[in-house]
Amino acid sequence: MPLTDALPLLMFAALATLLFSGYPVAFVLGGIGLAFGFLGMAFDQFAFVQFRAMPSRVFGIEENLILTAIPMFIFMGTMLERSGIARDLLNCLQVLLRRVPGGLALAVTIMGTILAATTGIIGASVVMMSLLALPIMIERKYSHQLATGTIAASGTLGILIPPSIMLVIMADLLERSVGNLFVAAIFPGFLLSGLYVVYIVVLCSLKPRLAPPLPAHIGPGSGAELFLMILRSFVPPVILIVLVLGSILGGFATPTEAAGVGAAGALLLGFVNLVVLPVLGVPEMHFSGEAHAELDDHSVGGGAFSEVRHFGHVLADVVLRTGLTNAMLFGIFVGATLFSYVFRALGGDGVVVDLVNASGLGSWGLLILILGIVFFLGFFFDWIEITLIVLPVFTPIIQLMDFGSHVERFEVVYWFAILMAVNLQTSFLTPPFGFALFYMKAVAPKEVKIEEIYLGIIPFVLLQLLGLAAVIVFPEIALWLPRVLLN
Amino acid sequence: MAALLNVSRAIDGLLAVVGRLGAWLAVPLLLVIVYDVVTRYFGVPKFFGFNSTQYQESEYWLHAYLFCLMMGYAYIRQAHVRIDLIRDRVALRTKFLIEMLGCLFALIPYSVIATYLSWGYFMQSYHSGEASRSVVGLSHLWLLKISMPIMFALLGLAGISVFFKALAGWSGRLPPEMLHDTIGTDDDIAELVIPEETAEAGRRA
Amino acid sequence: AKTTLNMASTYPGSLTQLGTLGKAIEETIDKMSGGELEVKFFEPGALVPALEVFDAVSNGSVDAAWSTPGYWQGKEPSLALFAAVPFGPDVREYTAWLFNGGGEEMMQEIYAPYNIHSIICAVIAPEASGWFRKEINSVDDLKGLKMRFFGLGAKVMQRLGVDTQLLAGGDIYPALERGTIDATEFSQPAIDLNLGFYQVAKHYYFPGWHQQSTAFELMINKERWDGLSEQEQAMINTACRANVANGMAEGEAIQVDALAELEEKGVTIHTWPKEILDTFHSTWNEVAEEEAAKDEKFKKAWESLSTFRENYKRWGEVGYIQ
Ligand code: NA
Ligand code: NA
Repeated sequence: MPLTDALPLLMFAALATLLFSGYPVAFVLGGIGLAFGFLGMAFDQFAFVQFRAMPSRVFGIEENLILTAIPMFIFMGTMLERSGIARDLLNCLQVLLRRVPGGLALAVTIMGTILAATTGIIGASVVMMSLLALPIMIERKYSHQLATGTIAASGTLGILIPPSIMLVIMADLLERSVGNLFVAAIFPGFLLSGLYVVYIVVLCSLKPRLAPPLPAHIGPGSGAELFLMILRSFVPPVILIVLVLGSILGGFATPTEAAGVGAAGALLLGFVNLVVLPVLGVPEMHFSGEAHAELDDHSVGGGAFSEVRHFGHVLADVVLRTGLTNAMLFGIFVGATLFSYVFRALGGDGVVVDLVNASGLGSWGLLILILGIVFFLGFFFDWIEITLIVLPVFTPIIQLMDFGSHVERFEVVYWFAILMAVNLQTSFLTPPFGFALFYMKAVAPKEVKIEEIYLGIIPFVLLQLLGLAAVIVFPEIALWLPRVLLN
Repeated sequence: MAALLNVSRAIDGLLAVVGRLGAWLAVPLLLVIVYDVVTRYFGVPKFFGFNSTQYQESEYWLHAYLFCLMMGYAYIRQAHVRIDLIRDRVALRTKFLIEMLGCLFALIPYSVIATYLSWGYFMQSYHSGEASRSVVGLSHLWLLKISMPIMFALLGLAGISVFFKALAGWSGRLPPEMLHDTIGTDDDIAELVIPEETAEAGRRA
Repeated sequence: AKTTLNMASTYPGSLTQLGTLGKAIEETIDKMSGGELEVKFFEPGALVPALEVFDAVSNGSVDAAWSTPGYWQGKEPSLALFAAVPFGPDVREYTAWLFNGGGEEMMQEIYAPYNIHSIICAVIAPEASGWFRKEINSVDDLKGLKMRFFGLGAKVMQRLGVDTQLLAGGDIYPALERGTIDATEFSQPAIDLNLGFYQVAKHYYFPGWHQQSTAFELMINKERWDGLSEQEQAMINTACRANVANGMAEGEAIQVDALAELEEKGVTIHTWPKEILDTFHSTWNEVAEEEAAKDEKFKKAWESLSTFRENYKRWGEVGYIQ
């Protein structure tokens, strides 16, 4: 094998190995990028001046307006958790779903699907649900694998169900309407969500010990109490969803700005919950049998002044946690941009393209091969890099593909884009490099081990592949709705 | 060793001040977004003679500083995610070794070279008086671009601090209260107690 | 021995004209040189982000770039005049100035301190003026309008009371759909058609006064350029001139069907009423004066272009059927 091919492959190998050293992911990425740049220099495959592209790439991250949504959604999730609003909602959903097997996991899947319709990225939902649902699931003795898998997979739906940054970038690269892609992704998104629901219900009825139901003595005693509980716990999140979704649908804010609106909404709701209601003397919702963790989500008593001061402490804590999680994420972005740049400069793309060109396969064979490559790349790269590598390179090939009457020629590109999008869902979950895993690991309670997360996502990755197969076999899942809605 | 640990303490103190201040940028970010949305729709006047484009650009300025100022602090606060599948199973001393090697061969060279490169990138912008790409946007783009050398310099400092602490830990002289800021595990404190006594003895001798 | 120049693009290679013309350069030069000179096209973001190619060519981390001078007005305000001039010349007159009236040379002087050699490598047909959700009947209708706008025209719009918005590329379509913005300028009919703007806004305005023709460039790191053989330089220059002709012809040809298809899809094609167009024009003249007063190089380029156009006027009037 010529050295030009060996270096990029060695880079893969180094990443796969050194990530497991336990040194922070962001710096492992940066270090390997740098090391292979120098290695390339030693073999005349790279020049030091090429490193000068790095600040440009980092600046591209700084300058990206869409990415400002990430800290805002993290703020929203953290605020909801620290102010007790999220806990109230989840407690209430538990009571309502207590007779359904895996009720809490279902509640998470449903929340994930709703949140997906309000955000275009994955970070927000995964962080919020890991913060609020994971501790409660652990407290209720849910299997850690089931809990983490459910949260990671349903949180990831945010980037498939529109609005979605991923579809926007794909539409741009494929030069096709974003609107069409958004509509086309709706059913595949709900298909995945539905598969998760069915899997959870079936699994939990077969193995109830994975998801112990809520003991009968916990929760409100009377119908009136239940009604109050529903009111008190559903009103704040409903306000927030109306605020976020409403500002997008009502045309007040772009999907990116809606994140800021949501964060501001969460700030106000937190203030109401921690200051206004206690001062007005509205009693807190008690949920007997609940272990009060070290959360700040309860009023402190002692009048308006001390409640406000307590709120100030909560806000400082939320701001700090938001900033740390955000810095963790952008640290990975920055490290990964150096890694993938050097990978590409060493001819890494060429290896992939040559593989496809040399295959000599027909349309079906090529489709499966490309999807296979994407699935494999998903273990090591994030979706942005994969989309940037694979889509432009393969677009001309895809446009020539012929699937006879299975998919009309003019619809092949849309169909392919949706297949890519569903396929890329796996990249968030597959180790070692998966953003949903990183988010979750960053905020999950200490007792959740990374191996539990790895094992937990396996069934959900299989479900995603099942969904992918369904859209391959029945293209109408993606193509029917745009046909009906948009001429 | 005590001197090195004092260097670490000083660096950690600096990172904490910068990081904790930087964290509060999330609040102006949120306010600018909401303000921009509100002025766009409800006829509220725009302050300071800024236009919508400038508000929108200031959003990513704020966000850039939000993560740049916190990047180094996040390391000593153990917020940078690790895949500790294997690390969880090794001896404490090996963990210190991993951390030292990581700082020495990954983080510190990476930070040094990135600081150098982004400094040049910033200087070019500074000397050319570069403004926003948008004709109606913000001027003085170097004020944003300098965030990059700042971020990488802080990251490099964090690497130096952790390296010293890990070195102390590896040679059995790390005070237990500094353990978390070095490698992030709490459950091994027991292992540290004896080395700490040795260290105390060493210091008295 | 084979020479390779890595060329980072600002536009995806599949994008009609904006990207395909860049890909064409790769192919033309490959054939001309019998494979001895390779100008390797890289997708935006593959090496550096789309709008970072200037810095990258300047510092030599990439050898070349496919872009438009219009994106660099934040670094050199005058460069905007070498890409698209509001109420500027059409393709004929613009190329006349660029190639025979000293335009391209002047541009190269402006690039030189940045260590960049830039060659005009395509000039294409007018853009549309934009997609509007509501009809615009008077200058007053523009007041308070939220419009995504880029380039020198943004200053004109802002002066007329338009609240110009900076939107991330992907946010434009959903924002227009939901009414977060009322209008956006984008590109030519043939490009806009594929992007589906007709699904969310029904009023399509012409002429694109802000961009009557758009020039694209091949930027090459100056040291790399000086290091090429005379033959290699000649091949690149010739390929770019050929690209200008091909792009112009293709750009004129493909709008026809696109426009017809858009009308078929229920889009109303408007042309700006004279009163509004005149207002745009006089406002642009004010803006141009101000820009010229602020920047010496802008002034020099603006005067060169204006003088050329003044002299050209007579020929333009008598030489062509009006
Ligand atoms: Na979404
Ligand atoms: Na992955």
